[in-house]
Amino acid sequence: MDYLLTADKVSYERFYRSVFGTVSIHLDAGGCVLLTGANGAGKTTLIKLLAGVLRPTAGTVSSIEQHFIGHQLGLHQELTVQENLQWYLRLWTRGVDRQQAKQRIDEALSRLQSLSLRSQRAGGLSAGQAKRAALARLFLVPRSLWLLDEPFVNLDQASIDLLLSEIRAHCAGGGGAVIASHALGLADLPRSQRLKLPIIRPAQHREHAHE
Amino acid sequence: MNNLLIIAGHDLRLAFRRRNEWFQPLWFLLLVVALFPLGIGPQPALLAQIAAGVIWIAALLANMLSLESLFREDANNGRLEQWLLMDGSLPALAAGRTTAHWLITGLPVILISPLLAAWMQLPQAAMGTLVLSLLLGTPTLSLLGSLGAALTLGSRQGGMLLALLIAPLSVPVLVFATSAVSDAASGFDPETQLLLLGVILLFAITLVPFAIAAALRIHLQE
Repeated sequence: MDYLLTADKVSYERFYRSVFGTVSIHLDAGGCVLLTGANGAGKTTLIKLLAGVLRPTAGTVSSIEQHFIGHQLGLHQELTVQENLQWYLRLWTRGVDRQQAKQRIDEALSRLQSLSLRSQRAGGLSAGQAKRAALARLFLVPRSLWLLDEPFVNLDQASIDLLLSEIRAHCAGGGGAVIASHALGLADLPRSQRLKLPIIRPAQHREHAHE
Repeated sequence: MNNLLIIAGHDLRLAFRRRNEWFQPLWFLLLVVALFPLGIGPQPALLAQIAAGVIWIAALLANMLSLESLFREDANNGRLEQWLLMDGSLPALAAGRTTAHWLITGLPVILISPLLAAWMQLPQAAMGTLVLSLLLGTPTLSLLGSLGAALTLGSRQGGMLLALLIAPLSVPVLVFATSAVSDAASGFDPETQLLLLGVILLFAITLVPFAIAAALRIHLQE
């Protein structure tokens, strides 16, 4: 298995307006794509397209099984962090008993030093803590492709460093990642390519709309 | 199937934690049915005549009470997106949630229906038919309701729209069920209506989860 993700001439229209033009991405094992662009350039939309949450208007996306962590963190407010992760673990895997599940959740949380969040309710977490709890999903079940939308937002410096080294280790071990972020430079990630999404002007939008 | 059970179990546990989620529909049902004899006065014959209709309409409304929030929470916190990404099991997940909804709002109604029937002076002979009609009819209502909840997920005030959308769809269930109970009360065999309720239920079980999944997919495309 050499490729992780291929997006071929993908475009997406919202209300008959193209969001980011046409994009092609090819990601091999060990590679990493850094997605940048101004606010509103369509980074989140593109990541959702790559994850398969959205369907492209034109073009095709094919990828192996991935972890997608978007703006909405996927945590239920009334459940504890452990219960939230347990929900995912049970839906993703078969035949994990209670003891094993607890062990794996602890292991996943400790990767970003979030073990202390385990029995806190997700609704009571700070924005950064909630992000860390959501990011623990990456380590719950190993998957080669990570799609991360602004993973560093709200994190403190220590957590940013931890996450960055986890991403580096993941890519060095044959995994790959697409990361939308303002905070990163190419120097932060080895073998990474940058994809800058252009802003499509409102004038072009209007022409589209009138067609 | 496994995913269905996981979601249903999870939802049940969550519902028991917030007591009013399962208590509210039941309380509503009890209150509505209890007020009828008081409002109409001591006329056992009249009460017996309308008993089936009253109990069924109250059950229908109680079923609608908790529908609006069925998928909203998970749509807001992002878990719905994650459902979509779990390989091809969206109908199973949707069915799991519907199952939990029925266990929380439908099953308690069935369990207290003999009490309600006694309240409304329903003849003993029709008691079994009432329970059976609820057993066959309320799962269909939960399925239709879930579909309505999924379809109105995008609108800000989905509640009214939801009621408007699923009330007409629930009419066949209501008609066959009440007709079965009143037939049984007057000594006829309600088999035909009960079979029809069963057919509607089978039809709904096989098709509606896929429709819910499609509606959720459309919502996530927005």
